[in-house]
Amino acid sequence: MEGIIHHWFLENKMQVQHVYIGSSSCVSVQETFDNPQWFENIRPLTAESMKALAPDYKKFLDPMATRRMSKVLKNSLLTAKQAMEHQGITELDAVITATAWGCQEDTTKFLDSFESMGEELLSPTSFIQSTHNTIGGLIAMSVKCNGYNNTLSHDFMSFETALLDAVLLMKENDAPMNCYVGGIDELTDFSAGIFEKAKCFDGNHTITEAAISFIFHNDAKQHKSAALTNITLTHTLDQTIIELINKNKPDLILSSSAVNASVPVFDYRMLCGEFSTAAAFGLFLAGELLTKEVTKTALGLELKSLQKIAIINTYTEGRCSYLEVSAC
Amino acid sequence: MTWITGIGTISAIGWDVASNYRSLLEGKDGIGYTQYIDTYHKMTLPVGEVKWSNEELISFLSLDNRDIYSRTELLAIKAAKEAHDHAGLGGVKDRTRIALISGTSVGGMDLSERYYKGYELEGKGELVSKFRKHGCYKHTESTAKALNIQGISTTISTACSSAANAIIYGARLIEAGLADIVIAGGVDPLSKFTINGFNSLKILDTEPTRPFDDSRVGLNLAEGAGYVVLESEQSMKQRGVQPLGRLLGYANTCDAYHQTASSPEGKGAVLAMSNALKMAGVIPAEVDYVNVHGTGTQNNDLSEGTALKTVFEGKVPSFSSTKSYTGHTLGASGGIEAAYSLLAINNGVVYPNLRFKTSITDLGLVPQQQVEYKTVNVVLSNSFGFGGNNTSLVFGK
Repeated sequence: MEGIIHHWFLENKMQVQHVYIGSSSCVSVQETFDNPQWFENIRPLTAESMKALAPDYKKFLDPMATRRMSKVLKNSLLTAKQAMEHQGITELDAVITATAWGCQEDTTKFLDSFESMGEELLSPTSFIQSTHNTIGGLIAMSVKCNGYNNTLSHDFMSFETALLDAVLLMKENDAPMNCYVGGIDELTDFSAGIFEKAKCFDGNHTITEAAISFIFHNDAKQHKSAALTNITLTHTLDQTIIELINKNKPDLILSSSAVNASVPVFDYRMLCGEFSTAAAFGLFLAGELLTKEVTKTALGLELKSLQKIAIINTYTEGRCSYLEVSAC
Repeated sequence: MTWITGIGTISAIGWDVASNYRSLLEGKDGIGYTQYIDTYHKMTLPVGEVKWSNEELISFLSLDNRDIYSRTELLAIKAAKEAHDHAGLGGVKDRTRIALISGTSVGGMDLSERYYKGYELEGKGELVSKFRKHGCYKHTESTAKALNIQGISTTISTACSSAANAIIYGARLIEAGLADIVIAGGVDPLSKFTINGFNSLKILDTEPTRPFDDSRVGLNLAEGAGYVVLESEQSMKQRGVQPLGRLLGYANTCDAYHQTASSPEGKGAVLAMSNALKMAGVIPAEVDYVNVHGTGTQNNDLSEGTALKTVFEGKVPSFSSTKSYTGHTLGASGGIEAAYSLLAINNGVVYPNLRFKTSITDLGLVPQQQVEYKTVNVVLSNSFGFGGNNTSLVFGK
């Protein structure tokens, strides 16, 4: 399967408005949460799989209200709240979540309960919290958002197609919008075993997890860390993408794939590890690089000026994505 | 403008669109005890099961029987292929302009749950491969491959509104010029996981469900798949095909009230219905039929009924829950019911809400009780799910 399927320059074709990345918040295997200088102390990823660093939940979340929540729900809620706080907003117009594996802990907990205790008198809690859209529902409930609410779950393309959803939604609405987009995947002991043995991933990176929340908006007057200037979805990292790179001339490419172009490539999965929505970490890192001069020095990137960064992802067989963000 | 040029379904009431339609007119439900799920509840909780086995589906679809398929994949390929063929998409040369957007709530859970215990006990290497079909996206990629769809593919998982949200995503792709044709809908298989999940919530009926009846006690869990072919006007004209209808409007909102229960006033439902009608440019009085979500649970029907009365200012048009025939197919329901809505428009008919006897005391709403032939220009179709995910679609002639 070859050839381009979707080749869309936001700048050229979407004349309605620009889409900006505002604030973000990230729980990952790095010390990214609530720590603007996280890149000064990079943790090496050496194990076959590694869980995310758990934030001090009780400092940020009501322990009573969150006592039955799994790790993925707490991390999602926490990063969503913090991204909103950093953006200086108390309301959301839309909640769009990307998660390939959803709520694994509750899913296996419910499977365990009927496999071990039989199919009678089961507690519904883990079932209720097992669906992929539990995350989006929870975030909407916590901020009383009655607006658009969607959950994308398409392997390594979950995050990119969620971003596209946000962009299309903003295009449909003429008014300024604050749109939550999250890239969230959870690692449990069970799923780590499956991922390692079934070779779901490429085997070159540590298998990890993260919850990364972004506020996207279309209001030039609001805080913005970067502009989203291109989403291209194709089948393979072929000539189409190379031509795009040669035309748009990004200063840096964040990718784990070999890219045949004269642009430096940084494998961001060396930092965040491998999880299905890792492109969200790529976008988070791009935002950090564009807004904090010191980030690139800390990461050993000898680049003069960074104005435009591309993120390329080829992990799902037969699918390739190109995201591009620009300084603003 | 987004047109609909094909539909495909498989459900407890039929193998294809024609047999589903026949069952709807004959008042024949598909509720009964499971043949295929090995559950403790198999003789006590009736379900809406697709009557054909995986082997029969594999053989019909001419798939390689040495491979392992989740039922999710098989049901999706079957229904999407019917919609694809119905719209005559076999003749479309540029396959990159066809997209596929599918919804599901549990993905390949039917396979995963079968091997889960064995894997936990033994950790056998060979069992590991069975979990590769677990991801929601697997059935979408398999369907894209089976039908040679080379445009954008993605998967939506918003519980019971998954297929309806897939239709919205598809419509947006067409509006933005990112696809000319989109196959959109959803699928879910029956599984021990969902049967026990809904049973633990105490919202399954031990009898065939009675939506919108005062005596209703719960839903019947079910499986199936339903897809529509969305197409741009230009593409439809170029291909010289006749439309089945139009997608006039849509809205996705969130109740933001509770993970599994709807708010008493149906806030999210009111917003979904009224915003979809607004987008369609249709006033409530112009709606000829509402295919309600109507699961048959105490909570949904009361909340949805209250929302209907608010949106239609007391003058609720003809409405019925076709889940009284099919059971609740979760992530597939919005796709199956979109197909039923288009059949209603094209045949000028509305379907009865089976087993209704007495109005819900606080509502006084009476659903459609018999097959009625009349002009159906506008249909509103509701899909509400866990997480407060509410979606309404408006179809027109």
